[in-house]
Amino acid sequence: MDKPLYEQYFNYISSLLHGDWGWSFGTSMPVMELIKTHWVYSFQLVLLSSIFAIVLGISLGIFTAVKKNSRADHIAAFFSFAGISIPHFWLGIMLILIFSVRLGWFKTYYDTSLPMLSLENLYALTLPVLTLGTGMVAGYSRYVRSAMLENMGKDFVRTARAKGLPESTVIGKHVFRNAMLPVITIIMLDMSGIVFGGAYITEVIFGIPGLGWMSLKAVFADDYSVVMAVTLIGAFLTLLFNLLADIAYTCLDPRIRYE
Amino acid sequence: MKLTAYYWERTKRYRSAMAGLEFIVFLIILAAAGPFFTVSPTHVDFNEKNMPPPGFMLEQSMYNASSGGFVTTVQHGSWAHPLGTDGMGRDMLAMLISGARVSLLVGLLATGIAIIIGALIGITSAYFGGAMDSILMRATDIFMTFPFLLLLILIVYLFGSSLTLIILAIGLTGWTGTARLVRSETLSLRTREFIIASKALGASHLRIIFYHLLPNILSSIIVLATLSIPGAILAEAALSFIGLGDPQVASWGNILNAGQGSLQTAWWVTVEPGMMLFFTVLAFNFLGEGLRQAFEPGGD
Amino acid sequence: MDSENELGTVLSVTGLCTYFFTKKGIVKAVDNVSFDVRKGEIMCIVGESGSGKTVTALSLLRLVEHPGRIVEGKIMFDGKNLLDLTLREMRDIRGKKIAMIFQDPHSSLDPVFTIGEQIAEAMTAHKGITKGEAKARVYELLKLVDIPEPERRFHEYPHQFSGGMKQRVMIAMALSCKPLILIADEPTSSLDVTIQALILDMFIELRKKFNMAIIYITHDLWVIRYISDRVAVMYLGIIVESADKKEIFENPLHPYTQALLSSLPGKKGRILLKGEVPSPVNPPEGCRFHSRCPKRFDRCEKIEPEMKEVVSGHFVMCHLYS
Ligand SMILES: Nc1ncnc2c1ncn2[C@@H]1O[C@H](COP(=O)(O)OP(=O)(O)OP(=O)(O)O)[C@@H](O)[C@H]1O
Ligand SMILES: [Mg+2]
Repeated sequence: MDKPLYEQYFNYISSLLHGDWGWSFGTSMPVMELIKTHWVYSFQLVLLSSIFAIVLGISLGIFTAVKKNSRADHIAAFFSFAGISIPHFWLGIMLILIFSVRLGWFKTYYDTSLPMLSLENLYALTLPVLTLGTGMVAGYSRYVRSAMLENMGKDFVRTARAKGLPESTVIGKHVFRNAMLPVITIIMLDMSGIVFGGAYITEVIFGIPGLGWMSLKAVFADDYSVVMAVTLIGAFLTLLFNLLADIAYTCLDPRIRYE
Repeated sequence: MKLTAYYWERTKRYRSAMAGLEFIVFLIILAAAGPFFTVSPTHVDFNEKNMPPPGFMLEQSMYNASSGGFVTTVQHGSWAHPLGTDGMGRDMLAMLISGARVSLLVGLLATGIAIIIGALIGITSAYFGGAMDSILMRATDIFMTFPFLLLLILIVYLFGSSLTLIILAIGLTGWTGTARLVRSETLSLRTREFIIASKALGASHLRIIFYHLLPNILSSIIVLATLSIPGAILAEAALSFIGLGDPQVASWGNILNAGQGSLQTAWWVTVEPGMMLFFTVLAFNFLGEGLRQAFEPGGD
Repeated sequence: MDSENELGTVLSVTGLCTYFFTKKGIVKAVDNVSFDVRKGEIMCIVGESGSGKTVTALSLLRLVEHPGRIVEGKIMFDGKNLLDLTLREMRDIRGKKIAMIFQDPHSSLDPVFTIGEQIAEAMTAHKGITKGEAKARVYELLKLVDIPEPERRFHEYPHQFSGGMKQRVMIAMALSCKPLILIADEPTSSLDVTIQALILDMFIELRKKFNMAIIYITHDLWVIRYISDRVAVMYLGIIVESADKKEIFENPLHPYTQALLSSLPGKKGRILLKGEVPSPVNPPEGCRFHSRCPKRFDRCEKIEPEMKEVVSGHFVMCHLYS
């Protein structure tokens, strides 16, 4: 520890690259092992929430764009505004209060003994997915709505109608494909914030032993190498999703592909 | 000032924005005047723990000093604690008002810091252009998508969790949106005639920035600031909620954290601060959205 | 002569009114417009910017979008009034019986689909043919509009085509279902002159090959002279004069047409119109042109003139001839 700081830093990075992520003193395990056992809990939560939010958010976005300024659109706008504004950690607690404490439909804590690929596990993840997914649905539906509306006014949409295509093809094919370009990018770029923001706290609320839960435990136990490792994973995922967003855009937009 | 009146008239048309503004004003008054008519938010009294708001009741076991054992008593709410008390007998109303102060402080100060840093970076980037611009903007892009909470947790873990530090940290991480906005607006304004004209007249860079540039992008900055305040408030609340907030202050996040353990008994301890947080965020979002539409050119 | 025309009419528009209901008032973009299109002819609609040419064309296919609405009129085609059809029936007309080409080829093609797919779309929608059959047809169509290497071009995207090439793609797309009427809204105005001439020749040739009528919208007088059989002149939402090409150029009756034609090179005594085109929100009372008309008299300001057939087949809406 008496070497100069930059050398310590250099050694740290080079050992990271060699798969040596240090020793967790709080759990008496190599950090790598710890991550290996915990990441999958974060992964399942984020995966399910994303599927939920993407399916619902995109459908809502299309629906409200097509029915622009209708009653349903205004109601949906109100709810998505509320969905964006509601603190998701509080939403999580309220869901527990109503559905677990009062109605008793769910356990108040996530049961880690359930096999991962089982309906029981899916059921147990309902409230966490709602907690994390609500804000995502609200945000995605707004992105999709505005992207759809922007493209509905384009000339090529009129061309598609002039060809005599049914409205479902005009909207579902031409408008949708064009609207998805920016939406997919935004979804990708949001992802690391969701993993290490929303999911982090959701794990803490429901006691799901994912990376966030593990990281917070390490903070309280002053387990330095774990805290650093999780932060680094965050930084790495951010770079990864930035890259993926670039790649996705390139694949989906022919104008870029050929340049 | 005519312009201000004009925009005010336009903003007034958005009912939700006005409702948001009214709530914010109410909150500010509450935060400022509250301490003069409530009890101390830190006053602990275990004899009055988990008192529900008036009109509700709660059965709980209490320590009885005369018999030296626990007895089950029925707690009724009382008007002495109009919003009830928490698990340590602290007055909820007083704590919520203290929390309002914390949240407003965090929201306004952190956003202020973020706007200043963002404006500096944005203007630098646009003015110098070239490699400086590409490096700064690429960094901004990546920073923009970096999980913000993780960074806050790291800062608090490394340097401790005082409110001042939290505010600074939120401010120091929240500048990316402003930087992008200020950069693009500066670039588009730089080529406008009046700026070219004042350059030709020999105005200094600083003069151009302060007299011509900033007034022109003020409206966009105000909108962005209003819409960023909720993010700052939520960041502090989230941090406090997971137990990494400043333990010295009663913030909404801290109250939520403490109340999470007594969901079975004292629901109001989590419901009330969450509602406050929700309405505050909603109010700023509504106001910001209304301002955005009011400032939009040709919105008639 | 007359009866022959009656027999050969494919499209007959009467009293068409299309208004835009905006916050600033009702924009009467097309106001009581009537005209016929005969089998296999090229009819040009000419008028300055904002006179309502595009809105007229869109109205024929009922493609006018909110806040616009067709408020009145009759569009007779194939024995039916298009304005009475259900949307589903209207879809069977669009692209199949009446096709349309738009002004700006750059924005009229969807950037994320290959041009092959976009040309094939109308055929697969209307004729229920398989993708393979459609592909073969697309190759033929691309050849027809002089696009070389159709097999390769099929799989390319719009941004890989030049403006002229894109407009050829649009033409191929419009022809794909062998329509009876082709509406072309200033199809060449965004292209440079040499390419314009090539495309115009293509229209003339294709008209013969497909025996279809073309409604050609333009504000270029030389284009009209080059391509049209008949001309309708529009001013501020109405048709003020219509006649055969020869008749219009040799014997223009309406003062607006006269002014328009006087700008042709080689003409003497150019008539300059004063003032701006009035707003279609509050069109002038009486004759719409009176505010700028060099030959106006009392009656013009109060009474709206009626369309009159002055010479056989030559219609004009002006008090000078009533
Ligand atoms: N979506 C709309 N909303 C309101 N008014 C419209 C709309 N579309 C067209 N108009 C109005 O209708 C009138 C006719 O427009 P149109 O596009 O048909 O003109 P045009 O003759 O095709 O002109 P150009 O030669 O420029 O294409 C114009 O006054 C225009 O302002
Ligand atoms: Mg037009």
